[in-house]
Amino acid sequence: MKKVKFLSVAAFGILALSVTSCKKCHECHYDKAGAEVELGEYCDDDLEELEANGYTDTSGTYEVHCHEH
Amino acid sequence: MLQKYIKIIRLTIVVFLGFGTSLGFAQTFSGTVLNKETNKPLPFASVYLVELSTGTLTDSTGHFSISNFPTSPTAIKISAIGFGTVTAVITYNPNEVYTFYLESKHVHLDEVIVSTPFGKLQGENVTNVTSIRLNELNRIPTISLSEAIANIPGVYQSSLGNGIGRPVIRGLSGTRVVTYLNGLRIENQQWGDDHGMGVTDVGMGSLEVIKGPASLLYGADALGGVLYFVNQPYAKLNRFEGYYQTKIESNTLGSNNELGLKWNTNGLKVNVFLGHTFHGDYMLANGSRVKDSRFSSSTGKIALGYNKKNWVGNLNYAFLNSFIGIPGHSHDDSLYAELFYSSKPAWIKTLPYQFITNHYLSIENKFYFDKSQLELVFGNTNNRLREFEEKVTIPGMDLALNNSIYNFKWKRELGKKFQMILGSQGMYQTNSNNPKAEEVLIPDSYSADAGAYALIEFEQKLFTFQAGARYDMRKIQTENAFNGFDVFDKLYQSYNYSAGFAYQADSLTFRVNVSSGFRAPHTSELLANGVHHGTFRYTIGDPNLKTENAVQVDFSMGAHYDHLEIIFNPFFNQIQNYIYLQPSDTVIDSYQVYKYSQSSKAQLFGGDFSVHLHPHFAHWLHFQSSFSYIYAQDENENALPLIPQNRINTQVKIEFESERKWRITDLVIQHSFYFDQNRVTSFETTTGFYNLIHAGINLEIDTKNNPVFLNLGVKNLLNENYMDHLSRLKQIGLTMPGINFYFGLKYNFENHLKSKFK
Repeated sequence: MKKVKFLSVAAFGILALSVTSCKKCHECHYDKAGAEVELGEYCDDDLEELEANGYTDTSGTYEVHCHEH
Repeated sequence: MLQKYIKIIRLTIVVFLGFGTSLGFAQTFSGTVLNKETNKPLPFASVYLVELSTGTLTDSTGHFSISNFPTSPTAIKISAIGFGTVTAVITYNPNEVYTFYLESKHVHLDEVIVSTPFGKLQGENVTNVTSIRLNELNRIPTISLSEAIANIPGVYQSSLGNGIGRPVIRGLSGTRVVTYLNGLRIENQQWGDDHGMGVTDVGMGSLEVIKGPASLLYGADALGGVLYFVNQPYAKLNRFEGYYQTKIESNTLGSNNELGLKWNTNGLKVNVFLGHTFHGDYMLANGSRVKDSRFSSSTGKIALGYNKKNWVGNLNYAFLNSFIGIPGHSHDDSLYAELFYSSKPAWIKTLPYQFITNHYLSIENKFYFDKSQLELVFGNTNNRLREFEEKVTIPGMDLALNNSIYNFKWKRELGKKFQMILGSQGMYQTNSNNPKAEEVLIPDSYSADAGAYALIEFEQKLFTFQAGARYDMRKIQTENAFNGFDVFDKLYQSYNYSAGFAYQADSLTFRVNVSSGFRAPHTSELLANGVHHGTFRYTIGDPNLKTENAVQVDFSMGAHYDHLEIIFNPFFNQIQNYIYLQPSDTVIDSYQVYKYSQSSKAQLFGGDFSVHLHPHFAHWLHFQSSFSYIYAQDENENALPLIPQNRINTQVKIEFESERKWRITDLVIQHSFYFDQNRVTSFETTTGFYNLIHAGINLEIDTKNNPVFLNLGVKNLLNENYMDHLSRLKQIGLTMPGINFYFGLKYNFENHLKSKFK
């Protein structure tokens, strides 16, 4: 019976872990004059805003590309 | 403590299913199973209650005992390794002595079919159904469920890397194939070529495949066939059972892991399954890897079952979360295989990819009366499909599909030889776009289905006759005008039928069946107007498309002997108003434009020929081979697109008998030969033939009462560099996976549980 209890707890533990969310961060960059300009790591709302609005510097606004690291 | 939990769960399920809390139990059914030739008891024979999805084993004296046996007529199935299956409908009588005799058989095991309404044995069924246990299909394990079922004669897989695979039945796929899971119709945007099956093998027990139209039983869209998946049965009475299994593959440096736990005590049955799969980019025969062919998925399943007197209730819930890379995707004008090569293995998410979440819930109630049976199923499926192409937080496409279904069926005996079924099915579906998504390919829409049918069956000696008719309607509606299309509101109607007979003698079976099917055009075919990144196309629909209607004649002849089984199964399927995707010369936003068109007629014909030899002089040897042939043409006798290559599949299995603690159970060699596909449309290329050889060895280790099963082997042993005609990566020259070593382990455990029943 101990084994049954252990396995039951283990199963529900794995299930709980599998549905737990975590912070989503990505490395981002934009392309300028044929070169990649690294912007560093962005997470959650900052990441979403950066992707939606692009990155603006003195020369204009650029589309940003992000990827997991 | 466990008993307390079980009481709480039992109360929950009774409340859920809408019944009272008075938990009455019926009588104990006991009997003996004997070897027909020797009259000796058969230990460890399985006595399985079909409607309850549970059963027990005989003890060392061949005796079994099942408490809480229903008071109404109940179908049981008795089987043992090396013996034929006996099925019977038992109306319990306390004065009767129940003895069952099993006859030794070597090649043919008949299964009780659950996907057709009369619950017949495979051989007695008028509808042609192929029933397969998943563990038999997986003697050499596959990376996915869709790859596993592509070993069934007449069934293929259309793939986009390893992560996306969908079934092709006799040349038809997508919205022409209906998938069921435990009586629940699965809806998951099947219209997209890059949208997979939405079902994994975690907790799966068996599969039934209906090849060809089956709208009489399954309504709209069952034009090409039906896949009916059934979860693993519940634990045997008063037992706790479980298993853990893992499998690793060298080609993708990936793994499939699964935990199954089952309880069955005091009338309550609980199954819990958890699974996690991850695979990296697959390796080609030349050693390079295909970028973004990685994928991972997590699955959770729970099933609760309870029965009381003449009522059986089941509640099933499944959750599936998948990340799937989309390989072969680029905006470059010139696409070639090397563009997608990678030298290092990778598992992390990189754009583009799909993120898919599925929830499946069904509640099933069956009531058994003296001469009739009532079945009610209610269910809901919820699918969210997000395709990320350029940005990780803003999806390229984001669709939420919600589908609610009901299924009502009343079966009634009309005398000794006649049975009748009246039924009705319906569903209500909403499909909506996330406004934040970059693209909207198809409009927000809803559809409502309703259908009613009647079916009658007549038995005369060795013949079974069956005929039925059905009426269906589907309403499709949009709320707003969409990308140049007006508000859409149309009703599609169809009448369908099926008629046929089956003849089953000791060693000979015949079956002839004529069945029709229909498929109303899908919203994507009617109203699409936009970029579909997953398929790299700009797609335009046609709101004037008509309903597809199909009629199939299916003939099956089988010879079943103790050591030889031969099955010949030709078919002819004619589809009116066949819908297909036609590429045009137009390019929008650098995507080639594809338009939906309709051909007045399409014909698909061919068949399967299978042989299973188990020679008497070499009882350790099983030789199985099948040949699948499909020919397809439109009204002008031109080829139809994406018709699979003809194929010969052969398997040789050598079984070993040993009493050692470590023992080899069997050695399996599989060979597949795919013929050239030279009949192609003007926008396809031909595909050359290829050979595939897989080899595996299965071992068993005795550890007290809990054996450990090991399997190891190699797939694509010759490291063949091959192209499959149904691979979507073929158009850019990316071939299929190269050599792949695998290792698998399965550990079973079980325990007796205390019960108030002796």
